[in-house]
Amino acid sequence: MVFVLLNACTFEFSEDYFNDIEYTPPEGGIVLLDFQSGDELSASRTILYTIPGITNTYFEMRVLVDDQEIYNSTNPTAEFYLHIEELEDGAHDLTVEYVISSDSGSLADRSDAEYLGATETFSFIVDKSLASAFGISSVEIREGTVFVALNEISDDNFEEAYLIVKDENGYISNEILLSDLELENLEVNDTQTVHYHPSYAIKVKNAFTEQLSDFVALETPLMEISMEIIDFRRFKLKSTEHPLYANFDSFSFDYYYERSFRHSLDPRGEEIIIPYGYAFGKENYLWLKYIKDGQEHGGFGQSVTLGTVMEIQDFEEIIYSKSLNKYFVLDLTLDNTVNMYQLNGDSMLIEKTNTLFSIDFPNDFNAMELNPITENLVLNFKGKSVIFDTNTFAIASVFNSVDYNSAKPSAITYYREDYIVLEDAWSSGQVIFYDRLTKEEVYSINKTSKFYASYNLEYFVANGDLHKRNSSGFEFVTTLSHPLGYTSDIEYLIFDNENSRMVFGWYRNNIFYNLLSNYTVDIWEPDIVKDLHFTENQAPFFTSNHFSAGNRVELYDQNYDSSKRLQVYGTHDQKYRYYNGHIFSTKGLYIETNLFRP
Amino acid sequence: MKKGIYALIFTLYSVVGWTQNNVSIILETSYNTFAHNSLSEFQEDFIRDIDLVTLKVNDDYPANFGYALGVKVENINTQFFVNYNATGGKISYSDFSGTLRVTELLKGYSLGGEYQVELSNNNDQGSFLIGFRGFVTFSKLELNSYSKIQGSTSEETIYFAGRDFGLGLRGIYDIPISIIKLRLHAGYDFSIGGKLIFSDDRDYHLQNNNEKAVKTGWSGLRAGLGIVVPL
Repeated sequence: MVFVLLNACTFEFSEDYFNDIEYTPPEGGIVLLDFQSGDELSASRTILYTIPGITNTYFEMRVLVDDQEIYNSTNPTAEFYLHIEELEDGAHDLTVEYVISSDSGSLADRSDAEYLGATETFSFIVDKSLASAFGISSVEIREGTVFVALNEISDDNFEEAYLIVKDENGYISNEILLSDLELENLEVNDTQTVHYHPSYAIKVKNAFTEQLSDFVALETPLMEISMEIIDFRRFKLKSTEHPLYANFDSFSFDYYYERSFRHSLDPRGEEIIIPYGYAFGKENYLWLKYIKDGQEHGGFGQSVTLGTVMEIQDFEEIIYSKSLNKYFVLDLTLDNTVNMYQLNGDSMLIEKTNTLFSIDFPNDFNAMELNPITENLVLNFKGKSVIFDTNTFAIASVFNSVDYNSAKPSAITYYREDYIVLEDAWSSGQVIFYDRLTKEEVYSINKTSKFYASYNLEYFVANGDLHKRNSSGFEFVTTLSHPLGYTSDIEYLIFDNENSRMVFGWYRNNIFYNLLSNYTVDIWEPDIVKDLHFTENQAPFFTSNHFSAGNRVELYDQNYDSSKRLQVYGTHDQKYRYYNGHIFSTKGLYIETNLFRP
Repeated sequence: MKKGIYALIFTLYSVVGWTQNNVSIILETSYNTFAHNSLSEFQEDFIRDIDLVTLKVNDDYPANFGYALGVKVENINTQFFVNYNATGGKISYSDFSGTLRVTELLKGYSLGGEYQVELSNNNDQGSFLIGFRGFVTFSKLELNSYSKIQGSTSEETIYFAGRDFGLGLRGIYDIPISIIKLRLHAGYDFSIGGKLIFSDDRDYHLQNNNEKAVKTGWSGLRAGLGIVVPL
């Protein structure tokens, strides 16, 4: 009992120490940047948030859209993405719930157990509808750049507007995002487009869909580039102004002939001299690269062809009648139809066309000649020779080989005034002369090499022997021997129209032969001759292919015993002819030139 | 401890029975001061260890009333006694959000004997005595930590026990009133504190931050009143 009493008299502790904290909760709340209650959203949006002046150690928040959590974080300044793709059009709630530590300094605060919580709700409206594209009122070029005038914008319910640029092939070449200023001014300066004939439209879009206006086309002038020959190696490249010259700084291009050189060209138009050689005989393209701020921005192929492109391409032969001042072109189509064209002697434009007949094979055509007496065309084929009247522009007569020798349906048939000559097409065979009218055989010879005859058979060469017609038949005149004593066959030979001279040769050795005096002159300059032709003035015109000097044509001047030249392209698939101061390529090109002494 | 107390009570009754009429029962109360410096430092260490908030010292083992029950055997001028003292330390912090509190309730049960020398005896006015005391004190420390933060409460109490030995000297003035005497007394007890052993595992004892044993310090002045009932 005593101890119970003693224990009852225990020690009494003092009251707890009480810290009377005066606490004022912070004012203000979470701040959403770029977002306000009532905002209308037509695209998803990144929303930055922050709590100004927060010094607390603890923060936790979550964001809900229509009670669905879309974000949570413990970062008091960050951003979240309000994704509206799946939301219906109309009103929605964005709720931000967050807690921060109280920062009161109390025991609970210090123990991370005292928070202030808040919930803020913002409303917003989802609008996925889109305005119609406002379109373009006009497009024009001013001082080398494009100005696009926009229609009035009556409905601005779009997120972004673009200027869409199409090239002339209908491909979209550029999309330019329009600035607020451009939309306000209703004018866009397109400083990027450089291609011809651009078309413009306006595209408006939001996050969900887009609308495109009609295209408005802009017809631009074309820049032209021409070549003008200065001499054997040099030419001028002349360019006109590019219509969109202000949209870039310069052109750059590589000119290739024998080797490649890089040049630049002023878009305002320029004349430059290129001294690295050139050639005639095909259509050329330069790849012009647009240079802007030192960078390439695409390019385009520009036709830069020496000479003029003719209306007929890839024909077989062209011949000129000086007295008629007409050109006649024989063309074989792909299906072996023979077409005859008459070209104006000055403009080179087609004046007449006649489709003659079809042949079996392309190489059934042998030659087209101009009869110096009648000015009619003689067309020699395998199996027939045709006289084409240049006056009536129609076939005058046809001489079929089988009418003279039924065993020779495919012999090369030559009309030679009073004679018809049938030559076996293969390299060795018979050559038989017939009286044109009586059709009787008057002469025959076995050939072992090429056969050549003058227009009226006054002279012919067979097996390297020159023969001359006399009153009783044909007589041997001489053997045409190689000046260096070689025994190889003659490679080419032509007679002139007066039966006064001929030119023949063995690639590197060419001989000018006077038939009246039997006097010969060596022609030295042409090298590796592939083709030989007389001009309308009976001057020899060589096409040669030297292994190092390249392809060239050479016009021989008998008086000076020298030739003038021009570099040309490939000689195996095209022939070159020289008439009336113009060189023609059977590719379908011509150029007026006097040729040059290198 | 309880065994010891029962033993003491048995002894007292034995003595009473053996001495017959030479025995007085004394009930004393006293106001005591203490010197629990070690426990005070321990409390200060506690404050330093809690850096969440700054706790204040509410109680620092202050002076307190104590009680004693004694039996004086007149033949041998010796008073046997059992004494009870209690004091405590308290540090606390509280605000609107909660409370942190550490209390250390310290109780001391002493058993001892006092040899009393009568210096004067005036039957009318009372007698004056000098007492030489020796005692052993069983200390019990009840360390309670309590926290309540935002409605979340946690509380834990652990116990330590120690044994102290002491000597004391005091003057006693007994004034006869009717058949009993009123006793006035004043003196000083000197006590050597022992380690406070952790009750749940006697291999451990209470230490301060410097890893020194925390000891009780019951030394102090004693002054008070008592009633002496001769049997």
